[in-house]
Amino acid sequence: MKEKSYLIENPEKNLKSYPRSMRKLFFMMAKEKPDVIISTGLGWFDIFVFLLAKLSKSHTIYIESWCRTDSCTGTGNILKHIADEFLVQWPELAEDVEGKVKFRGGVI
Amino acid sequence: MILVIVGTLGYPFDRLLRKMDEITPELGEEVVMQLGISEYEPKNTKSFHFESEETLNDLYDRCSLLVCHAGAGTILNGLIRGKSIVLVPRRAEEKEVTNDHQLLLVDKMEKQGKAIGVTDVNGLKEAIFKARGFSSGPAVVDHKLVNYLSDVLLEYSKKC
Repeated sequence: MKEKSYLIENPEKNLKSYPRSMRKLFFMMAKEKPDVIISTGLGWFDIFVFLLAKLSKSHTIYIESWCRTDSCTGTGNILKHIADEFLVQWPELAEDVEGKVKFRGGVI
Repeated sequence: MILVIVGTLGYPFDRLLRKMDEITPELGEEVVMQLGISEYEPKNTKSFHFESEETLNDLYDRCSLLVCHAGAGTILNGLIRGKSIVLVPRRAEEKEVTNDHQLLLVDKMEKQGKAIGVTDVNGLKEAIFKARGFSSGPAVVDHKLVNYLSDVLLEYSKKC
């Protein structure tokens, strides 16, 4: 499989870069039309990515951070309802939200 | 060499650095500290704010003990190398982080016997002595997650 990468600044760290990052995101999604999107989370910007993915009918997988052992991140709690698959890295965190929150292994 | 890592969060962690600097003369071992955006200037240890991944990997390889905040990346770097680890969770009330999830991760690591946790930095020296030579061995990387994702991708690539 051919690999290609895009570098988009996380606007969470620099709000001024929001318009530029959004423009790049739209361009990337329109050009690549991804079948699958996997994200390990990058804050509120992720919500735009996942909403766009809904429009383009991409299959979305969100992986919650390994550092979250008993509750999900703010972004995670919203994306639980948007992502097609929601994976957590601790088995005890896998509760059933629309049968979506699953444990499929962690980094270690 | 004892390596102290506070990570790349946008909050300082002077509480840990100040205490570490203070007890360094009593540890009988060189201490190297990564300061992040903390303002504290250590007097007894070598230090740097940020470094390249290559330099950090070398430090992780060479250290005998890792003292760090309970950030996922930092802990994993210690665990995969089987290092002795002392974890000091950043606290929201000290304005070192936005919420107290690090406390829970420390708890988890302690229960699994993978690290020693210290919430009150006054207990740091004791924890370091206790942690010396204490390691659960290099952590085994779990391939289940990667295999699962590969399967999903494979399924979609067949559809194209």
